[in-house]
Amino acid sequence: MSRLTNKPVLDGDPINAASLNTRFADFNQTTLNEFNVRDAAIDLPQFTTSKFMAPQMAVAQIGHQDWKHAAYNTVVGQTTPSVPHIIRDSGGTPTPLATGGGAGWTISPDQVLRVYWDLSVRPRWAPGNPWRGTDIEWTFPHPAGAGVATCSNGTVCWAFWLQVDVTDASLSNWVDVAGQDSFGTVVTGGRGGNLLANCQATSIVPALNQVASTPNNGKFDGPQTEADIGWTSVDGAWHWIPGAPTTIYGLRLVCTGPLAAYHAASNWLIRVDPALAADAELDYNGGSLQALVMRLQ
Amino acid sequence: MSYSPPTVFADGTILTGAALEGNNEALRVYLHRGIATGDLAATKWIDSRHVQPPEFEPYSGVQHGVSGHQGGQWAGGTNVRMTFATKYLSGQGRPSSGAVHGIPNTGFTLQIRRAAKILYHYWWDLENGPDESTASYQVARDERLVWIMPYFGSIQNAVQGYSSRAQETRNHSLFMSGTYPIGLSQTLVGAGGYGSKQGTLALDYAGSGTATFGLAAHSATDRCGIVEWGVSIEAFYL
Repeated sequence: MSRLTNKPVLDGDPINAASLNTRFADFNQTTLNEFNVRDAAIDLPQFTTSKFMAPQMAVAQIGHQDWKHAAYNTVVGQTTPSVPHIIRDSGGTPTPLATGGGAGWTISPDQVLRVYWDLSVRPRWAPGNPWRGTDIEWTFPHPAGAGVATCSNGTVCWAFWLQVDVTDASLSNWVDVAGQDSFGTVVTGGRGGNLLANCQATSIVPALNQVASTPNNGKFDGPQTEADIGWTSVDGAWHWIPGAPTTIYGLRLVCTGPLAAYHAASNWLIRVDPALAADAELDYNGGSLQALVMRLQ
Repeated sequence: MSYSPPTVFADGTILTGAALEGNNEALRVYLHRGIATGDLAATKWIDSRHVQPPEFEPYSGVQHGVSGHQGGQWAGGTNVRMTFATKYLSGQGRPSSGAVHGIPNTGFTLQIRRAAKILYHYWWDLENGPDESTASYQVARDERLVWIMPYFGSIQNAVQGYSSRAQETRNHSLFMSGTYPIGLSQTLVGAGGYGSKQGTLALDYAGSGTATFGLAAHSATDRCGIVEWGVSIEAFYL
């Protein structure tokens, strides 16, 4: 047990009020400090059973639950400005994580919200190299052919991120989480995108996998082959410390695509490419979304 | 201050054993599940690792302190411990099978002393296949996946309770098709069989007792090498 600053009553000590009272006044906010508690250690039975290090937790299954993929949801490629797809169940109903019932969770600046999610996905691509003539076409030396070989640069992807409702328990006022935009900011030519600085809650999954069958010292001597991405999964984590007490009522996962890397004005971006939209689809099944509120101090 | 001595002594009054022991008894009660958040010093001084000199459980790599369990295992260090998944322990690649097998080294059995909020974190890098076997009862070559999912309690819960968290990786392809490899000077090409995944299982554990966490696999490929991996636990009593 902790060391307190007053000694016990010893032989020869005066038995008076001050001496006695002092010994019972030690258990206060001043003396329950690093010296008496951290360095001397306090044990589990001495703490109340109410949670204060990790006071809140919530878990939700999201998406279309069918882990063997007999049936799944499909998202068609989206064009700008991007309106993200909300992850839904097999009946088309969104699957948000509700926090704290109708009361929500009020998170203070001395707490951190920790969120973790995952989702099974399968990007698909129309056959016939539809990426030719778009942002993602590159050329490589091809001495055996006409001098160059065209190939996808491999940057095309689908993006997933979190949205939060800080208004009320109706869960109808969703906004992107801090540090994240919805790829709707017009970058150039009416096409939406995000600076990388606004992708702080983003996870991506490749939309296209193209390989050279016979790469040889930096040259493509043979044909290129599109290999299906196939079923895979995407996951993410997001931590947030509010600047002022904030009540959150729910979290949900959204996605958009296909997107591609873009560079302009010394900035790197991820940008919608509408020329690719008609050729890309994303299937998804189930996953999980979970959150924990944790005390920092 | 939560602790309030029942008797505040005053000079000139009779000191009784009952009053003195009453204060001591109230202090015992306070020190048994009586210390609340507001009683602690308000300045930041405490982290979970500071609360109590922990007990370290070397086999699981977990330490236990007053705030709960923290720690884990991983494949790294000087002795790499690759682990595996295989269809030979989970249905032979039959599409109707939902069998799973435990993934060696990824499990914990913990003594949970009090209701806790628990996060079980896991990650892996794996190479799945190539499985070019031709037995007709299997799913098609390019549809052969390996699913890895967490479980709590019995391993059968992996499918019954946590299949929504299964994360999958496809079979390698292009390794053994008719025109490859082309020649010794050419690079062999593989595509699709690499998986780098991570996830978290959150659990609001209501009681106390023995709790088991682990990773399970359902594989439709003959061999899946889980080259690097890690599992860790955060369990918060407070």
